[in-house]
Order: sequence, then C-alpha cells, then structure tokens
Amino acid sequence: MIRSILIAALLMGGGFFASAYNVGYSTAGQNYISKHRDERKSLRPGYYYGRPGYGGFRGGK
Amino acid sequence: MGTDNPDLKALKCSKCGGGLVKSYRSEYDDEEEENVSIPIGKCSSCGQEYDQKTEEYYELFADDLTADKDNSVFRLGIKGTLKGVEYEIIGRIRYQDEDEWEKCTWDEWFAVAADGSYHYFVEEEGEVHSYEDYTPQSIDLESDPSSIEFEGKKISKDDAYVGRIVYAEGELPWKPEIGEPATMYDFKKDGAKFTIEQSEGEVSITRGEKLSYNDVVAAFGGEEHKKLFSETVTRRKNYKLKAALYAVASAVVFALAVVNCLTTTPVAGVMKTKYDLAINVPVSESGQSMYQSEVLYGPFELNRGDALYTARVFVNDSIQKMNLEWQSFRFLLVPEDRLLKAVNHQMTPAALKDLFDEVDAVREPVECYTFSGDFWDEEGTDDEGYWHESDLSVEDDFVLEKAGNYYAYLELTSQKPRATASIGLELKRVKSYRYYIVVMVVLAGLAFWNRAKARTFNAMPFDVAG
Repeated sequence: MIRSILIAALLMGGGFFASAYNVGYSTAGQNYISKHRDERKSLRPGYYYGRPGYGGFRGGK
Repeated sequence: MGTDNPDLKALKCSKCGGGLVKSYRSEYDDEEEENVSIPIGKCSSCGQEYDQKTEEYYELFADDLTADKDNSVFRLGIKGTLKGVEYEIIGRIRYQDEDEWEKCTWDEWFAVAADGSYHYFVEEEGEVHSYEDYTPQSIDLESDPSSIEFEGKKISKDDAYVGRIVYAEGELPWKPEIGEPATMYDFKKDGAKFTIEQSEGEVSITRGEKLSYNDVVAAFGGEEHKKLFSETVTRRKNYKLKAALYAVASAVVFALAVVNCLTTTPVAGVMKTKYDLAINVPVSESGQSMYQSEVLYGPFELNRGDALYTARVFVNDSIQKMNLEWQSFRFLLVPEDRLLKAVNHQMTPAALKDLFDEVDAVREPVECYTFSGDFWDEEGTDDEGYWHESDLSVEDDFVLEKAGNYYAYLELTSQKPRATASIGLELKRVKSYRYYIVVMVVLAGLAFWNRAKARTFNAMPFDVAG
C-alpha cells in the first residue's frame, strides 16, 4: 500500500512539475535566436530556407 | 458411476454396435456468427454421430467434464457446521449444461443435517448456494404450455435449461445415470432463490440462498484451505484499496487538467495595428502560379515571461470563404526592440518589406519564434459518395522567455488571390495540461488493473467468486 501511495504521489508530482515548468514546449526567446544565428552563419547568398523554392508550399516550409 | 464405472471405457454405437470415438463436427454458432468445431462422439464403424443431446456423448466425454472434480472445499464424508446446524456431505452429482459445447458444470452436494433432513449445496463458478426442499402452496406445471404457475408467479418455460449428469458419487436419493437429463428453472420470488428440477416424471423444488464463501471454508475447509482463503481475501482487499487510491488520484489529476485547460487569458489588441507589406503578388514556382501576401501586426503586449502561450492562425470565413483551394502561412513572433533595431527605427512599409523579404538571410535573426501551417478546402467522391472537408485553423504552443512588446509577421501563400484580412490571429496565455492527461491515463490504468486483480486474485486451487 505504501508503494502504491508513493507511485501515485510520484506520478502526480511529476505531472505537476512538468505542467508548472512547461517541460517539453518550444521556447520563444534567446534559445531560438542563438540557434538560428548559428545556422545563418553558413548560409550562402540567395539560399533562403523557409521561402518558396525551399521545400513544399503546402507545408509552408 | 462416473469415471469409476468400467462400462464407460467400452462404449458401443446403439445403431451398429461399433466403438465410439471422440470427434468434431463443424456447426454454425449464432453467437460467434461463424462455423465452429464442436466435440461429438462418433461411431468408428458406421459414422453415427452422438452430440450433447445424447447420453452416449456424456459417457464418452465424462473424463473431460470431471477432470477437476476434486477441486472443492467439499468432499464425501466431511462434516461442517453452518449457522449452528451440523451437516455431513454424503453424495454429489455433477451436471453439465446441455446447451454448452465447452465445459460448463456445476456440482450439487447432498448433505444430511443433524436432524436427519436432506440439504443441498450447489457449487458453481466459485459460488456456493445452500438449498433445502420446499413445498409450494400452489404449483401448476402442465396447464399452460408456455409457463409454469408457482404460488401465483408465472415462470416462462423458455427460461428452462437442461442439465446432464456427468458424474455421481456417494449416497444419493436415487440411482443417477450418466447423461441423464434434468430440466431446470431457476428464479427468484420474494427475495429467495428457487429451483424447479424435472426429470423422468419427478419434480423437486428447492429454496435457497447464496452462502458467503468465508462461511463455507470455515465450516468445511481444511487448515490449508482456510490459510489460502485468508490470503485470498487479504490480497483482494489490498488490491481493492489500491484501486480506490489510484482512482481518487486519477480524479484529482483530471480535475487539475480541466482547471488548467479552462485557464486562458487572451492577449488584447493583437490585430489592432496592421501593416500590409504585400498583397497577392503573383509568383511562380515549378510552373505553378500562386500569390503571396505579407502582413505585420503589432505592437501588442505579452505581459508574462516564462509563460505558455498559444498562437492560433485561422481563416475568417465571414470575410472570405475558402472554396476548393489552399493557403499556407508562416508566422514570426518579433520582439519590438529587435524589429526597431533592424529597421533603424524606420517603421515604414517599405523598410519593413525590405527587412522581411530578406528575413531568413539576415545574420542576426529578428524573430524569436516561428511556426507554419496551411489551410485547405477539398471535395471528392469515394466509395461512400461525395465528401467535402476543410481545415481552417492551426494552433501552436510556445513558452515566451521574456515579457514585452511584440509584433507578429504573417507570410501568406495562396492558390488564389485572397484578402489579407481573411486570416485571423489570436494569442492567449494558457496553462499546460497535457502531462496531467498522461498521468491521469496511467493512474486510471493502474486503478483498473488493481480492480481486476481484486476480483480475480485467487490463492485457492479452485474458483472462489469475489
């Protein structure tokens, strides 16, 4: 029974933590900016990802 | 009698005298709605078949139907006291339901009470009922072809089932034969259970009640049975408690999920200020013509950092309906300070258009988040006929790192020219609940599993109903 209480408490605590701290969601901020800044360092002129000509239109990619 | 009868090993066909062997026959099953193989007896000489409506069948299959006959608290000669009355088990008959192709047996244990009266303990699927002879005030079995009248109560004859004797032992009130049929009616009246049993012109009526297995084990069980039954009861109780604990925890988590799901704060004024940077500019890609528009909304305030937001981009049908076409979009969330710096504080449509035309190439990203999606409206026909479907809304969640003023840039590519105002944009601060849903499902699963174990756990060597 004690083990069941611990399991229930751990699951509920885990759910609360993950929800309260928004675990697993994309972040709008410095992480995005740093990542894209690094990616663009190697871009050649005229090669724009995310624009028509790169990937499919329907996917917006 | 039963497996102890040597005659059973030399079964002969009543038609030709040949030996009978176990066989199978394909027969349509109404419940399964398909053909199934059913066991039958078959003459090895003439091929005569003996199914479960014949006595030969039960003689042939007696061993299969009695293999577990010793798995019981009861046994011949055992004595026990129930509700202050001492009983001695003196005989037993095992019946098989004639309508069942698989094993479906129950045991009727005959007991004699201290006062010399007969008593019956019926054991089936882990339940034990206690029966005694009953003389009804009135009973009419024959007048109505469709029902029996029993003390004013009508019992439909359609409720009858036939039991076939497959085993007998001990001192019994009559000499039973293997395969002998008895037609039975089980029913309730005034809260009591009654059984009417008809066989070869004889009718017996008994009244009974369900016994607690705990009482049965206490009265007739040996030390080992008592120990195993006590373990069974304790473990079942523990599983039940665990199931209740997990069910309560699951309900609490569900409530938290609902609260978080309903806790939303819309961001005001997202579409209040609009810059049309390009409207339906024809472009061509891989020989396909399409139209591009660019819109910038803002500034608007996102007043909570480290918070979860949902952005929803949607087609506003009241402005322009989508009609068998597609449109894709890309959304950029742009902090006001980064935008002003990128355009040197020149917030003119021309400067903004220059910036966003090259937005993927500028070394210092102006946006802090992006996502894309598409809308579509399609129709067609398939084997179910005409269909018309559309998807006119896309949502995305993100955690905003820093509170402040922001702009939203939408790049729109469409199959046909479309009004930029027909694309709506909503932002709202929300709370995460997806992990609560996962935890709730896990807890509910644990509750169901423990509930099932509470019903099925059994340390005893035979069935004990929960």
